Formats: sequence, structure tokens, C-alpha cells
Amino acid sequence: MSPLLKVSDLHCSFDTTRGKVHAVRGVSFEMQRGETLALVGESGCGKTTLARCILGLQKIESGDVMLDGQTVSGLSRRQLRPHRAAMQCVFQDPFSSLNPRKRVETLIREPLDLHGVGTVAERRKTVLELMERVGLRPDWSRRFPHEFSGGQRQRIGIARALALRPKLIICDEPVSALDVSVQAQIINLLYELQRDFEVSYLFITHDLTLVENFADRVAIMYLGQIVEVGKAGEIWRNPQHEFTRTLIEAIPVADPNVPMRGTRTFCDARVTVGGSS
Amino acid sequence: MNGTNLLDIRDLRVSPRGMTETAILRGVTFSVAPGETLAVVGESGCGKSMASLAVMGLLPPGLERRSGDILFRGEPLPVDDNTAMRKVRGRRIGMVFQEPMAALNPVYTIGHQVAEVILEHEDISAAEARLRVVELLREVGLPSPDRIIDEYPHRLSGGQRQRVVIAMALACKPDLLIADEPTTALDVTVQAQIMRLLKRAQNELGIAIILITHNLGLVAQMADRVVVMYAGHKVEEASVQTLFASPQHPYTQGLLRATPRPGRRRAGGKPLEEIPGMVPAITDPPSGCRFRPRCPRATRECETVHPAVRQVGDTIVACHHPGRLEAVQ
Ligand SMILES: Nc1ncnc2c1ncn2[C@@H]1O[C@H](COP(=O)(O)OP(=O)(O)O)[C@@H](O)[C@H]1O
Ligand SMILES: Nc1ncnc2c1ncn2[C@@H]1O[C@H](COP(=O)(O)OP(=O)(O)O)[C@@H](O)[C@H]1O
Ligand code: SF4
Ligand SMILES: [Mg+2]
Ligand SMILES: [Mg+2]
Repeated sequence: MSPLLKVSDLHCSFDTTRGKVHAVRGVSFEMQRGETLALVGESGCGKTTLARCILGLQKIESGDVMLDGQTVSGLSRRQLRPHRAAMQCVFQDPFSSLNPRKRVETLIREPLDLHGVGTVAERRKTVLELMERVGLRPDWSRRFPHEFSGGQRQRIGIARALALRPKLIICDEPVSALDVSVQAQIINLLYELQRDFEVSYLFITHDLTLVENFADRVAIMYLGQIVEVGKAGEIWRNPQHEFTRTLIEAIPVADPNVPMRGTRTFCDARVTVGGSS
Repeated sequence: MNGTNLLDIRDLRVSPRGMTETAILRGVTFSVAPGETLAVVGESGCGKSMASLAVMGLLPPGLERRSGDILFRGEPLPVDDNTAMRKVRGRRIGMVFQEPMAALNPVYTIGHQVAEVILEHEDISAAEARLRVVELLREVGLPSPDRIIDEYPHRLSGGQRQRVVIAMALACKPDLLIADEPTTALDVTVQAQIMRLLKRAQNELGIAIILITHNLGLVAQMADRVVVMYAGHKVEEASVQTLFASPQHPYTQGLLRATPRPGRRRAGGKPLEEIPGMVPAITDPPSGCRFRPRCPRATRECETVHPAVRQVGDTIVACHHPGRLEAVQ
């Protein structure tokens, strides 16, 4: 069986006033059905651009993206339409990614309306079931986004992403704006939903500590390239790439008996020298 | 009066102006000894920033200090007198915020802004100030300081800007540096560099640091002592060793468990340990203990009586039922 997602030698760049920014530089990877792959890297390394390329929201320069054995890159909006339901996304900022003037039930129902799934009554019922499933009280369905906390808004985003029963959800820093206790709630929720909905996650984060017990595999991204892929625990124990080692050493360990590390300065090169790794 | 403390905050209460019922800080007490690092930790909205702004006399216009003394070297700080506080800020107490651009003016060069801090407090010539600025920029680890001095803030990376702000805060060798989430907006590799810079500055200048953060990893690596806050209260205070080895308050225990520990795989179950529920709205706090709706140990007493701060062993804790529930992980 073909992999759920296959990205091959993907390139993407932007023309800016300061010249060409080569944001994604030849990325290739595969994801299996039901798998969680974490994509970890520091700001500006190209994670969001890569996600947008996969979702067809960003024009790619070369390379291709296959979902379930079918090419989805380089398609027109209309050609992409039937594939859109299979690929959903959850963004970092639950505050700005939800239309503030729409009620929660509308926000969650919108994808169902757009794709004409079921009758109006069926859609209503689905929305209430989804709300319950992501830990939102169904009697809150007529409220507006501003009436919810950051964590609750992220639950709304997750319910909306699940509505069309996608095969893949790309989560772009979904917990980065949340407090630790709420981060744990959202990650645990995603974990529980995975089995019931048989969905795969491409989970984008800058925080390697979050994904160790959540992701099946971790891909480390640096300057537009994936420099290392491996099982989450294995990356921690035995990082292969110099950047991965720098990253791991920089993470402050929540144990006062572990001395401060992070003496490497690998990343300074990016600021002062710029350019390639 | 405690003669050995650099800073004493006693029973600090802050409320929105004209709203006596609502409180943002509900009687917070802690102190900082010379040369030590005190971490103030807690989730967003618990009052960490307002506590530090109250010390600097910089509370936002909508908020007021209703009671509480703030002593610096045993003397009351004139926090309500802006002219007097200008002499304190920068000179005796430096401050670094999460967003470096909050402290930098986009229309002036780096050199101009750092020199301004020095010239405000010291009677030296502009040429002397410029030399001092180059030296400072070098000390905070900025590459080619003689070039960066004439750059504008937007030309620098986030980490470089934060180094400039730290240079400004250290320019007059203050006794205390308040760093409010100084690396929250930065990459973890840059964070490690900034933390090492702060440690070095502390060793060389003997300054005390209040490190405000929600990151328990940073607390473990940087702090001597820790104050844990929840919904406007101090709920626990202990040395960093004691806090991590035997946290007493259920909230502290929950925070520690919710913090992922690299290299430690959890056996089965969910990927992370969570604290159920969420922080209460300040306008609608629960009765009794503020943590009660989320607390696994809550009893009838917790519903009616707000727990007072008390000493239990080496720890100061505000809880009716402190102590270990089970080992952390
Ligand atoms: N629309 C755009 N126009 C120009 N440059 C962009 C655009 N989007 C992203 N970039 C640049 O591409 C690089 C990668 O950005 P991004 O994918 O957002 O990184 P990440 O999500 O890892 O932080 C950065 O250098 C960024 O400045
Ligand atoms: N200008 C203001 N007017 C009214 N309330 C405020 C103001 N600024 C902050 N607050 C409230 O004060 C509380 C504490 O805020 P803050 O000290 O910034 O929290 P922290 O720094 O711990 O995240 C929050 O509930 C916040 O909503
Ligand atoms: S006082 Fe009661 S409710 Fe509050 S933290 Fe302690 S045990 Fe829990
Ligand atoms: Mg991004
Ligand atoms: Mg704050």
C-alpha cells in the first residue's frame, strides 16, 4: 500500500525586496496511515511554508506531494477540491484563526456545509457530537470565540478540523501559545482522538520536549531542510546531526541537579554568517 | 525590617482602579537577597508581570496598588513618585521584558539608546559614553559592536535585540535585574545563550535577578529560590532543590508533572500529565482556595476557608493539605 503522504524533493522560495528566500530546500519524507510525525525546528526554518505547500496553499517551485497515492501538488483549486477534505489543519493562534463574528456551531459546521455533507439536521447533530468529543459543552454551541479561553479555542479548531473525517491533520504549533497544563490537555486530546478518527498528524512544533511521548517519529528541520528523522526516543538518546545535538543541549532540563548545558553556538552562524548549514 | 534583603515585597495588593472587589494581586509577599536569583513562576495571568511592574512603579494606568510595602535595602521605594523612581530605574533596578521592541525605539540607533541610559545617570561626555556602549555591546556577546552601535533595532534578530536590552539594563550596574519572560519569544538555542549571559553578568557584577517565567526548565537551571504563583496568590516558596524534590502545593506538583522531561518515556497511558480544568477568571474566583476546582485533594474546608501562607518544613505554602500526594513521576 502506498504511504498516506509522500513528499518528494520539495522546493519553495519567495521573492522579497532583499532577494530570493529559499524557504524549503529539497524536503522528502513519507508518513504512514495513523502515524504521528513531529516536524521540529526553530523559527524561520521553513516549517509553516512546508505545511502550506503540502496543503496546496503555497505555490511550490519543484518537487511533488502525494496523498494516498495521488498527486496533489500543482493542482488548480478546483482539482484540489476533492482532496481538501482528506487534509485539514489546526493553526497556532486560536485567537486569530477563528472568525470572531461566527458562532462556534457555525465555525465547526462550515467545512461540512462547504462540502455538502449530509442534511442540515445531520450536520447540526455532527457538530454537537464533535463538541462533546473534544471536551466542549454542547450547550455552548451558540457562543462566540471570544467567550472561550485559548485552550478551548484550540478545541474548537480541532473539532472543525475533524468534521470532514480527514486522513491527515497538519497541526502548526497548536499549543505554542498555551500554558503547560493546557498544552498537556490539548496534546492528550489529540492523542485520544487519533484512534477513534484514524487520523495521522503532521505535528509542527519548535519544542522537542513536547513530542517525545506523543510522536511516533520526529523530523528535525534546519534552514529549509530535514536534517534528521528518527524515532522520538532515539533522537533524544542518540542525535546524529550537529544541529539536533545543539538543539537538545539548549533545552533546559526541569531538574536542578542537571547542570546547565547549551554551550554550543551552532545557531549563531545563521545570524552572523547567514546562508547554508 | 530585614537588613540583609535587597528587596522586600510585603502583602502587595493590586486591583483595577475603582474595583475593590476584584484583585489581581491578593497579598503577595516575597524578598530577594543580594546576588541571588529568585524565579517567579506560574501560568499566564497569575500576576507575575503586575508584581514586577508594581516594584518599578510602572503599573498600567487601569491598575492601582491598594496596599503593601515595597522596600529596597530596607527603605520604602517611592513607587508612586515617578520622578524619584526614574533615579531607581536603570540605576538600581534594571528591567528586561519579553518583547525587546517594547524597550527599544525604532527610530533611534542602538548606540543612541544605550548611551541615553548611561547619560541619564552619569555625568560623562558623549564620546566617553560611546566607548562605554561599544564595551557593553561586546560584553553581551554582540558580534562587531562598533558596527551594531550605528544600526537601527529592526536590522537585528530577536536574540540580538534582547542582548541590546540586557546591555541597557546592565549599563549602570544595577543591584537588581528583573527579567520578565526574557526568552519566551526566542528560539531555545538563543535562550540558552541569553541565560548564560545573565549568569555571567550576575557573577561579574554580583547583581540579584528576579527571573519571571512559566518554564520550569529555566527555573531549575537558573534559580536559587522559587516563588510559585496562582491566581494572584503566592502558593509556594522554597529553595530550588526543595521545590523540585518535594513540592508541597498540589498546583506545584501538577505543574511539575505536566512539564515534559526529556529522555523519560511515560509508561503507557496518555503522552503528558495534565492539570484538569483552567485558571479562574479574576472577576469570578471560586470561594475558599483559588485552586480548589482543579485540585485532587480538595476538601470541604478548602471550599470555605482560604488557606493562609504558612511554613511547612523548609517550604512556605498556602494549602490546607500540603505534602506529597505521590512521587512526581
Ligand atoms: N510570504 C512570505 N514572503 C516572504 N518570505 C517568507 C514568506 N513566508 C515565509 N517566508 C520566509 O521563509 C522562511 C521560512 O518561514 P516559515 O515557513 O514561516 O518558518 P517557520 O514556520 O519554521 O518559523 C523565513 O525566512 C521567512 O521569513
Ligand atoms: N491594564 C490592566 N487592567 C486590568 N487588568 C489587567 C491589566 N493588565 C493585566 N491585567 C490582569 O491582571 C492579571 C495578571 O496579569 P499579569 O501580571 O500580566 O499576568 P502574568 O504576567 O502572570 O501572565 C491578569 O488576569 C490580567 O488580565
Ligand atoms: S487548600 Fe485545598 S483546594 Fe487548595 S490546594 Fe490545598 S488541598 Fe487543594
Ligand atoms: Mg511557523
Ligand atoms: Mg507576564
